[in-house]
Amino acid sequence: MQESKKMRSTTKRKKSNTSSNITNTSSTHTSNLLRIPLETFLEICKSLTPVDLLSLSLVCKTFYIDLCCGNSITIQEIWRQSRLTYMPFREMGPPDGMNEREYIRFLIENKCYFCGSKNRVTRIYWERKVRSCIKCFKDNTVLEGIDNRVKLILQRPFLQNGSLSNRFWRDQVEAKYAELCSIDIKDQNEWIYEQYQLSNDLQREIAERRREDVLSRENQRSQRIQGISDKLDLMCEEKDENGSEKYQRYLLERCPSLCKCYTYERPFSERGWKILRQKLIKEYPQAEQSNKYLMNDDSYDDDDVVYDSDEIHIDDMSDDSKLFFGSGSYRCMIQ
Amino acid sequence: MDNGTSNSASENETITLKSCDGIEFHIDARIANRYTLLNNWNGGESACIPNVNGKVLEKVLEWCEHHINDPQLNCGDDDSRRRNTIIEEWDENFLSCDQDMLFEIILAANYLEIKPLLDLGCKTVANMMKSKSPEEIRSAFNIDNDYTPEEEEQFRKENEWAEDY
Repeated sequence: MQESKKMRSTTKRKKSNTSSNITNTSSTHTSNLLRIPLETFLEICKSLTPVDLLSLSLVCKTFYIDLCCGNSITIQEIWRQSRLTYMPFREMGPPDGMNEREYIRFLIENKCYFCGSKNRVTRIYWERKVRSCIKCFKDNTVLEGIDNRVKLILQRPFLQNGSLSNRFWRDQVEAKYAELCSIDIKDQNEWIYEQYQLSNDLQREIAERRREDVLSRENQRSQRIQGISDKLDLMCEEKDENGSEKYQRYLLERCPSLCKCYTYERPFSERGWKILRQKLIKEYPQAEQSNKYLMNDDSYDDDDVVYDSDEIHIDDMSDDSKLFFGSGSYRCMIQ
Repeated sequence: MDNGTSNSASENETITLKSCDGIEFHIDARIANRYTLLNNWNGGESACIPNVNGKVLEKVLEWCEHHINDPQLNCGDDDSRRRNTIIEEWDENFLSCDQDMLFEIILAANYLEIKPLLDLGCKTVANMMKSKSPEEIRSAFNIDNDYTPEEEEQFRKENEWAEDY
């Protein structure tokens, strides 16, 4: 906080000022973007996606202060509008304790809160306001030895298939139990009743948020597949010097990077494509080779083709395979 | 066609505007009627617009003239209008000037309260930033990186999530 105050004093941006000569082009040293009034700068920000906003805030200290410090309504509104415009099905506002920017980050960042891993499939657990991988979820929740009164006032996490888990977050159990013990015995029942009411309200909110999770994940997944498919179509139109197609779609589909790429739970970006394309070009000869080999082999069976996919976490995959490959049934279970 | 101007200026009526460096522009009175602030300076021979020079005023007026028959938007803070990042071809060509001029136009539009032109300028600048890394934005807009390497590393770590997107 103190850091940001210190930075603000170095802010170069001019205050909106109609009396200064605005067309006096003294811009030789100051960037145009730093020359414009803050309102105009914020106006520009209103057409940016959450990630563009973030990039911009990292350009220099002035922009960081403009976009990330403090909770001014104008700035929160810019992040909010960006979320509503560019993140489909994320209509609910941030939960208690998060501002808009933190909320957007929470939605986007695929990082396990506990182990910090970014390569695993994570899920949001709204009752704990964390993202967690499945392993850490198991490590940080408890199944037994929980006071029944505490069970009554805490939210149980949802499992990936949409049903409620029998587990509770260990730290929440401990905190609530300590709180309960600190209350005079004669007041305990009243306290539990109040907590129970609060818990019910929270449970309703969590259900709503989970509905958004499912919708946005499905939307993101289909957008991603479509995005990849469009790029592959373009790639298949490329011709070599003899005028014949350089790549065959069915062979590209057999490249391990592509199979893996379909399963990532994030929007498909230009940058993502650049990386994927490089990998596909590298893997293509091998796909071609194994295809030739398989064509010559009578015992060829498509199901037997297994690619080396060392980075995929098989544990996570099996738990989540329903989500990736059978979302229809998943949705039924939620409702 | 009703172009939404409140004042009934006839088509041939012209008014004179003068830039801060003394260049005179004779414009269709309907333009001045559309934008209150332009009209305010229509005060006779000596009246000039402070803060806007001839080169910039010429561009601004060129834009106003082209858009003279546009339906006038309500002044309400319509976010959906601003969010629409599609820019018409004429406007795109109009604003594909050098960056200094683009920002001069934005500043003038802000100053003269020509909201649609201001929106257009802001959208154009926003499009110049889209899908760019902080470093690319720095070089596009000639901004010094004032983070120390340590600060930059810290911010990068804190904000790695953007790379997920």
